[in-house]
Amino acid sequence: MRRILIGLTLVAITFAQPVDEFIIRGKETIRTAIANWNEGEMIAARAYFERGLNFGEKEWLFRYYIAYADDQLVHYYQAKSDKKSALKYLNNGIDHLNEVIKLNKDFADGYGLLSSLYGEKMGIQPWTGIMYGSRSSTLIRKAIQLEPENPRLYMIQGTSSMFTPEKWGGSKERAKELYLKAAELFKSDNPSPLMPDWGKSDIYAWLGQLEEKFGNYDQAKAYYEQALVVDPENNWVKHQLMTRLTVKSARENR
Amino acid sequence: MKHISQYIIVLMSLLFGQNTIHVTGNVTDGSGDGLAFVNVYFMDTLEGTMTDETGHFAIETTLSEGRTLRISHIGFERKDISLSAENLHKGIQIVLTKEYMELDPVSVTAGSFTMADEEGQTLTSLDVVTTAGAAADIFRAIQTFPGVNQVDEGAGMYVRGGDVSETTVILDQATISHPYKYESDTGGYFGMIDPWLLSGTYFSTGGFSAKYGNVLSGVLAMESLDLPDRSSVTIGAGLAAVSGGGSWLIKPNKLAIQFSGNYSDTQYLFKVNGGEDRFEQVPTSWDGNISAIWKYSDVGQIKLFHFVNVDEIAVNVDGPVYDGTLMNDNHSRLGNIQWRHLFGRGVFVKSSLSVNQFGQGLTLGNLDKSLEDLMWKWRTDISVPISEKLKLNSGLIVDDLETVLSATFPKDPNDLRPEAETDSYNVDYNTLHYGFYSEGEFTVFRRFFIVTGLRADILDTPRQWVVDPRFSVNYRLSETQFLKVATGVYHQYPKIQYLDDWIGNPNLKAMKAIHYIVGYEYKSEITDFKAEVYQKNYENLVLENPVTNYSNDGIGYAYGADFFLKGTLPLISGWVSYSYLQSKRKELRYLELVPTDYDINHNLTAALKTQFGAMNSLGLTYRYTTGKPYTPALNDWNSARLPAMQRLDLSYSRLYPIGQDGLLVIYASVSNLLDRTNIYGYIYSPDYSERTEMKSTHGRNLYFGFTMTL
Repeated sequence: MRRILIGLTLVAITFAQPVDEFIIRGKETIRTAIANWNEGEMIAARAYFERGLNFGEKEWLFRYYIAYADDQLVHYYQAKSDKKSALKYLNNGIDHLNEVIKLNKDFADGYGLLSSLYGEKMGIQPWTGIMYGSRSSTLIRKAIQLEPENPRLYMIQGTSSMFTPEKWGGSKERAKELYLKAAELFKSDNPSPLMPDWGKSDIYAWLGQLEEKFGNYDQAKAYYEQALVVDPENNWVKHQLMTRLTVKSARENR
Repeated sequence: MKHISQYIIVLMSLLFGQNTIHVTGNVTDGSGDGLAFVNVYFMDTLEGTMTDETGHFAIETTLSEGRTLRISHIGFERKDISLSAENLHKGIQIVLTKEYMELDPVSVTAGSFTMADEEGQTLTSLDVVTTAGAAADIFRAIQTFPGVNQVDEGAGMYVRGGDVSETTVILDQATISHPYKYESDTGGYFGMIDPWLLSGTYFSTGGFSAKYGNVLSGVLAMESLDLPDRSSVTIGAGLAAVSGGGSWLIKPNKLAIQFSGNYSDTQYLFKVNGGEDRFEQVPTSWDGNISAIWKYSDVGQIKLFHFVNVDEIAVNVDGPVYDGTLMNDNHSRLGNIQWRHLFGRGVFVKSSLSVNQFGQGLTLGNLDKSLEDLMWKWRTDISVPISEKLKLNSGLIVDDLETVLSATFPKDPNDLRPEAETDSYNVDYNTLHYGFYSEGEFTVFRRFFIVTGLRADILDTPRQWVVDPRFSVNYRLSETQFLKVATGVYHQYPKIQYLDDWIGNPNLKAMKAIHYIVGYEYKSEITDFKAEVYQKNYENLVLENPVTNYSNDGIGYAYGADFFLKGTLPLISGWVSYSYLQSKRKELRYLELVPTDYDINHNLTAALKTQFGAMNSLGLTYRYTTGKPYTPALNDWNSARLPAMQRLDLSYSRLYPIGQDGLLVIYASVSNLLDRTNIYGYIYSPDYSERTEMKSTHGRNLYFGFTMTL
């Protein structure tokens, strides 16, 4: 009897908020996978959230994190010039996010990430611009309308502005304004543990890349260093952006 | 409840410590290769793992038989396996099958083309409006598809050996009984509907489903725009037209009003390009439309759509015995209210009530015709998913048509002199038509899709009814390849004047066609290739008869092959279509089986585009069609052919983005770049001793303008 009582107590603790704990653990898994920039780990993190759909609760949030993992895999395969795999995950992410915004109409991060994925799709398949250009900008506007203080949304908008050709309304100056606003908002960004909180370190990576484009290598380096202060495990900055900047500066100083 | 039982299972395993077992297995693809990174997990406890690089997996668990293991991998179909003593013992072997790109079954059905700004469609709206020579007209863009023959410079849709009147045009369930501007016997010069007003278009050259009735050859079904994302204003001006429009988003995702208007006066077009002297009144038109969309919930909306068009033209006609002016003025109006609602369990209902009015006045010599049409139509379509493999579509159509037609016409069709002998008639005709259909969309298995249905049409005056079975099969050979077969019976009621008590025959039955189509399609993200062969047999066609005026003794057939290739290369994109056709009929004044007036044996079109810089687009459309038949001597029906027709059109456009969403487009086009004079027919004297040519109305022709959206 005592064993049963102890068991029941244990179960009560274990399953107090099993879905929430599952999500928090998943967030950590994906964070580590991204930090390690490891294909298998990222797919495993995605698979973890896919299993979470079985809870039958917070489906919108599980789908969001699946799409977030998809997005990371898109970046991974693009860096490896594997367009086919990138498109596979991109289309999957878009499908999940379209469900997310149906399931939770007030979830600003859902609209924001979907806008970003449409932007990436236009980057890979420029001919889809006619279909998704306007949709992408409508989605991000809607997201900002819902959560004007959400830093990730300004980061997404800034990236869109940075990569959109000037003749199509893109502007690096505008991108910088948006990135700086995002960086400022990240300082006070404190979402609940279940909600998306990515980007705190990446915003400095984006600012650094923008400064690189302006030719301000010292400023770029300062931003990359700042990114590593926020997240010392940010391998993207540590191994890719920093290395690239060092090579570039060395070439120009030759 | 599900969660509680889930927890209890885990709880029991924790408390009573069942023996731990290893569930192992391999996941492979269809070719036997191991699949890495496959998600393998139990449905009840979320215990799971991923396969290694060889496709092997192992899960340690405490519960065994009867549980469901889910295997899921992106790009492959998900599989659920129930654990049994046998597969636990032997290890589980799982073969995943590739998941195919989801395609709307309609978009890959035999004979069909779709146009919308979504992936998987044949064309996007930008493709339509930038097709050189199409003058931003959807009908003209469709003429570049295989199976549509161009018989003159107009926009008439002659589909697979059928007459222009055998293609029905539908907007939001409402039938547009006169869909052309500057309407003529061969259709008209432009389509009535602006392509920018459309969100989606379905065009079928045959084998279409039971949804469509009272039509023998083709269907053009259009959907007007839904709620816009934002408010906007569009203005445009060109050498022959000014236009304006806008969207007013009153409440995002809820309520919007959209409107546009266009005034066209071609006098400057002809001043610049010459040819003004051929008209007493150059073509002039105006049109306007307004729509209101109210999305009253996430699953329902009401849409009001209204358009008006007025056009007139007076062109000089030089005949061998009579020179005169053909005067033609038309006015039409369509009002439609449509309700759409998605009920529980995926039951989707669409219902519309429309009124379509058309009036025409036409005079030339002793020919004087006046027509007034008024059609009320109510249509409801219901779609019910019965299971994952079966969807039932049904519908009910009731329409009321009133036609008042009065005409004075020459006894000899070739003698238009005012003093020549004439006949006249007045028809006041009113009839009710009821249609009903029911069809099933069966996914027999993953790659095998069938649409089969039955429709019935009943006409009140003259009272008669017909039943049409329809059947189409689509088999997916691989991710990108499809085999399709379609067949069906199609009926269409004769034109009103043939049913008149006095000049026609009120006992005429509906004309009948049977379609047989076999096709193949290869469809990837950047390439679409379609090849189809078909046969159409016609019965009960209307034939002149000395005793009863007309009878149903006419017969005919058409057979041919259509090819379509659309693709994107680094520098060039576009499509090429080729159609081969043989079409013969014994119909109307042709008392023997002879080639039809639109029997165009070879029809080749290439519509190509290239982009240079990000903002410049150059389009080129080339067409070649063999000459159509004509009658060179009395009763020697369609025994000769006109020279082949060729035409090259060129267009250029440049885009200037304005702000975040605005866009300025400037464009210029040269039609008939080679300045070729094509002959579209001859006008004969009554004894066929003299003739004059009916030639292209335009030589080389320049047009330019702009549109701006803010």
